[in-house]
Amino acid sequence: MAEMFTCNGLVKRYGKVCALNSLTLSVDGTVVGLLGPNGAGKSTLISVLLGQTPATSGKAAVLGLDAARRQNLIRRRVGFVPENDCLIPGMTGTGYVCYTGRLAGMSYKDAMQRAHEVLDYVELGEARYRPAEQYSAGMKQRLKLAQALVHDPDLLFLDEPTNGMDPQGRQTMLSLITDLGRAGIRVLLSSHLLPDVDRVCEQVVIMGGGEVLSSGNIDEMKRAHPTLYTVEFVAEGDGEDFRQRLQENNVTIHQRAEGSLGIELPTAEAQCIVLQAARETNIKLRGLHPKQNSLEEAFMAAIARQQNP
Amino acid sequence: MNTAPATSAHGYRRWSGQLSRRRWTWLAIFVAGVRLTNRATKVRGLVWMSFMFAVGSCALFYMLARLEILAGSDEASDMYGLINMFLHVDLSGVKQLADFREVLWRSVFLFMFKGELFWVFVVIMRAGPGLIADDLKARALPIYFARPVTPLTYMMGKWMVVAFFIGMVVLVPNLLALIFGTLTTGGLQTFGQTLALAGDLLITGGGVVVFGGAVVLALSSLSSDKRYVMVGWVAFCLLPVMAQAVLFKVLPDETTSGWLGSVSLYRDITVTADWVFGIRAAWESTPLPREVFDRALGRQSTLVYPAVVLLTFTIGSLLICYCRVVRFSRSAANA
Repeated sequence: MAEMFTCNGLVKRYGKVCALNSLTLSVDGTVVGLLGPNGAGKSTLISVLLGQTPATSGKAAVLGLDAARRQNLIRRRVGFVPENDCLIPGMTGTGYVCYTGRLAGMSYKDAMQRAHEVLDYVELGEARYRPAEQYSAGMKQRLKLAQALVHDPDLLFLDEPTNGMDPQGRQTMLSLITDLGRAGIRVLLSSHLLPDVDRVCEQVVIMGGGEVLSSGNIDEMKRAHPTLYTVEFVAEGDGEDFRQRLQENNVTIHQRAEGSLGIELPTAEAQCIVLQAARETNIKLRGLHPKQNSLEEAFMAAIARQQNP
Repeated sequence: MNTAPATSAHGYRRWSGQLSRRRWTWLAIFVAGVRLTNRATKVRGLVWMSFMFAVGSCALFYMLARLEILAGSDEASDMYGLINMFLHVDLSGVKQLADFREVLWRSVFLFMFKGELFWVFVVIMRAGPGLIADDLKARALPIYFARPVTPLTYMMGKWMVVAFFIGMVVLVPNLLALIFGTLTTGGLQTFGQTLALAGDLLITGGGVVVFGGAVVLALSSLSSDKRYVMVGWVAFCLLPVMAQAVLFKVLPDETTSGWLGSVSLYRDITVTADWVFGIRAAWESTPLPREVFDRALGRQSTLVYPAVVLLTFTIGSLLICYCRVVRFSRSAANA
């Protein structure tokens, strides 16, 4: 199976502004997150991948198809959920989804039948005959997902699909995305909401200033700092001796709390320093846990590396 | 309380059908556009009311048919007056009216066409401004350009919507009137006499469809607020007519036969329609004395200037619209 998308030296300039700066990456996986601050180039990348915007230079391919030359084929195999409402006033949910199916090249009969199926799938079955502009924010997001699914794409580009949704609606949307991944539909999820990406994605691409700052498996990104640990202990006093002994052995203490310390070891293999210091200062250790980075920390670290190289 | 499980609990089901490889997406845009526009009661009302032109044409055909039978009798005198009032021809001294059927029918259609132009203006004002402007306002362009829809296909679909409504005003009533007139006046013989008229009606109607559709699409692509588009359309149509009226008032006839006579788009269209229908040549080729039809011919004009003005506006509008739609298509993901 071809990769989700690849970019090779992809450059996109709008006048003097460089939206994509020599982007080279290869993304595969089932559900992939695309992260980045505003102006990072996420939407421009999606636009280039859909063949809407021609790249200034470089190449991009989606599902193995050249984005500049085979855009019609790509668009047949890709579903796109835009960030904005993009609903057509006056259309019912069914009419809207059926219309988008017709635009994708489905016959009227197929499009109508499929519209009912996908509206049921996104749990809009009971609201299907209501005008779409009367839908709540969550329903509109699910309607947009339905229109992207109507022609049964192999790949979905989701641009901020949980924007403006209440917690319950957000959970429903994330469950749908997970389910789509299980059904074999590959998903590129562009979002500002890191917990959403953390929950449903296995891979992530972090962009900033038109460049890829970091990419890879989320779990590996979270383990980006192998020397960071949390020490839990029980001390008769305030544990000052223990802290001093650690510092004498080149251990940096980042965080202090009663009965716990956030530390950074001089090397990844130096856990014995903690055990020895505890023994010497008569401290009872209750735990020594490698510190798990959050996706947010990984994201902020990537942004910080870009700003202060 | 509904205790049935959510359908999504059954999971996503793949679709095994085939997407069409043909580029018929403009048809989907056209059908959806017509359906949505036709929901507006005012538009529906305007389209239905345009059939009054068919009724008017039929009434005139009926009168002409009666005059062919009653020519010279006392009963015909009132009808001569009516015909003179509408078509500006004095038929009171003409005996064999059937010999002039074709030219009279041409005059009837031209008379109706000039009225229909106003109706086209009103219908476009209601049906046209929102075609692209509404998509811009609703930021709906991504749903088109994330699919195999090209800017040209999109434009074609939208243009067909406005073409449909213009056609319903300027083509359908005339063709219906032609069929009615043919069926009620002599059958096959009249059919042979007036067959060329059907072609002329299609050409003039088609011209209005292309011109009006192109201009309103271009205007609609310039704003996301259809009220501004509406104002632009009204200004585009009425200001030149007013300027032309002033020019005709203050300038002598001979100076308004060139560019200065082509300021009004309404006049440009009617001069072009006169040429397509060949009305001047048709009347002048009859053996009738000039005073019978002189008033029907109106102010003499060359075709070149009106044709150039109309062509320039049509091509310019199409170019503007195309460039705007290409621009929208390229920024659709960022819309």
